[in-house]
Amino acid sequence: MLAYVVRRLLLLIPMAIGMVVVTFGLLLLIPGDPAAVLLGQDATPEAITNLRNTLGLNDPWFIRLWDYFAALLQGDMGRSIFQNQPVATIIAGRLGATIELAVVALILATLIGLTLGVLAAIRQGSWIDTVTMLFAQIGVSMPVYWLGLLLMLLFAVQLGWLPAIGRGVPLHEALFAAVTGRPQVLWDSLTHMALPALALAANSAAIISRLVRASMLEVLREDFVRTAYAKGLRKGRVVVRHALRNALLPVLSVIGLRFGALLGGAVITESIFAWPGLGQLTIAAISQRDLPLIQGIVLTFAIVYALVNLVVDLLYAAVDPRIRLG
Amino acid sequence: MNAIVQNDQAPVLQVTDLEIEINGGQGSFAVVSEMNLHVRAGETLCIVGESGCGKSMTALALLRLLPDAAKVASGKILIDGQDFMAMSERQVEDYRGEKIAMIFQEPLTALNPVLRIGEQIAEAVRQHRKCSRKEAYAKAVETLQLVQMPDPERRAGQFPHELSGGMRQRAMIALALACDPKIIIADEPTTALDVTIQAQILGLISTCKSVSARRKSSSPTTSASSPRSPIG
Repeated sequence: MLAYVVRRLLLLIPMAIGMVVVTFGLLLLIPGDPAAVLLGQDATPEAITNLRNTLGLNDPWFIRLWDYFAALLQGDMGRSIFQNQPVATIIAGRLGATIELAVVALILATLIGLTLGVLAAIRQGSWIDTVTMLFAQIGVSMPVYWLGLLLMLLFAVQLGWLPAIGRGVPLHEALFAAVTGRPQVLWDSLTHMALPALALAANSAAIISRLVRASMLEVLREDFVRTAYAKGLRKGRVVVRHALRNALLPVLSVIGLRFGALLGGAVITESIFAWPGLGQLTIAAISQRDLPLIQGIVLTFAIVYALVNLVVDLLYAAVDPRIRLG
Repeated sequence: MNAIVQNDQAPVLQVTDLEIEINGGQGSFAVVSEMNLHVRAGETLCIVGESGCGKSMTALALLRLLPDAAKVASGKILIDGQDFMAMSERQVEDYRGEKIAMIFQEPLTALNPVLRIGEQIAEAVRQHRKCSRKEAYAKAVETLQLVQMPDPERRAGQFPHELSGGMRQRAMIALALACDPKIIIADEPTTALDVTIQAQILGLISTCKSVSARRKSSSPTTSASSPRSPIG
């Protein structure tokens, strides 16, 4: 197990190199000049050339790529062209908010997806099944920006129950505050979190519920479920302990993949709800052609995604004893 | 001492005019009709027939575990004199495993692949007996010992895929025996095994019946088994 984890962690290195090269190539292809954006519309060509020289943008691409790798090996992700701060510092300041949003959305999506999927499967053909599948269809079809706006309109503007934008105290600090006798801090944090997390989770919840339903329907027909009933076990126990645990196996791998989609979705959701995370930063960095920052963000997303999928693979082996990691 | 079979005893299992129907695409049709049988304590009854003649369907009907497409159209099933068909789902659950248990054909698929053998047996014990998790597990190991499972403590901690075919069937039998049921239905319990192991398993079922009969002379185990058909 430990050897497997170490090997997977080592595999992060070639993956990161590949990510940097691909991102670098894509950034070379997209039009736009950060020096021109930085200096504004009235900049003279000389000023732009001078700034490009200062920023090293006139160097050949392979020199720039080599320099980037050399710096990266020393833990330096470069400096943001626009914010004039180390990229690592900027990302570190924003990463927590995005991870928090994505993790809460993932938990929400898993809870909703599992509950609806299981209910639909054990009540196949009933109104619960129909409503669940209708929800799943809507959830899969509705883009996150549209759902986000609708939720904001209903819960923030019309009903006034929840704040429309912004982030409260970071969740881990809010949890600590609640433990130390200030539950209102946690409440504030959760109310800020509710709308963006729900908007982000809806699509994944819909996909997970459909998958859980299909997987449960298959498992409920398995012989070992019949054996569980033959032992005299109650239906609830058979469903949760025998059927669901087996049905979870294909769902787990999808949950890992959905985390990538949630990180991608966070880019849009954060912009809608003014959530101060990496997603909002990504939009700004792309529109400003802040190349080092874009590269840093992409690399961070890739590493987080790979780590989450490593955890999912470990969970997979924990749930299914037939899987041996090695 | 062998079990004393008193043939004037009331049957522990009595089936009268059982008819099982399957709902197909073009209406329903009977797969079992006018099935009558009775089994007294200590007796073994074998149902023999060609493939598809309804042996397994009958066995599943005796536990009210027929697949969704099938149903008992008419007839009576009495277990210990109680009308099994008229019972509520909760009462049926209390009977399954406790009064009537089943050994399924294919232990690899009939055992849960993600739960340890010991846990699967202990779960049945805890469902019907008031005991702690630890006591139930001890009972599971004891039952594995009864079915002559080699190294029962270690095997109880293993998963079905880690056991050989013969060991899996022994585990399946242990699962059925765990709560000392009055009736054990064995639905082609040796189908998936080679000839040598088949003989061992049939011998084991016979031994278990005798052991059970000695242990509780008032309610010896009855086994209605259905050996492989010479035709099908």
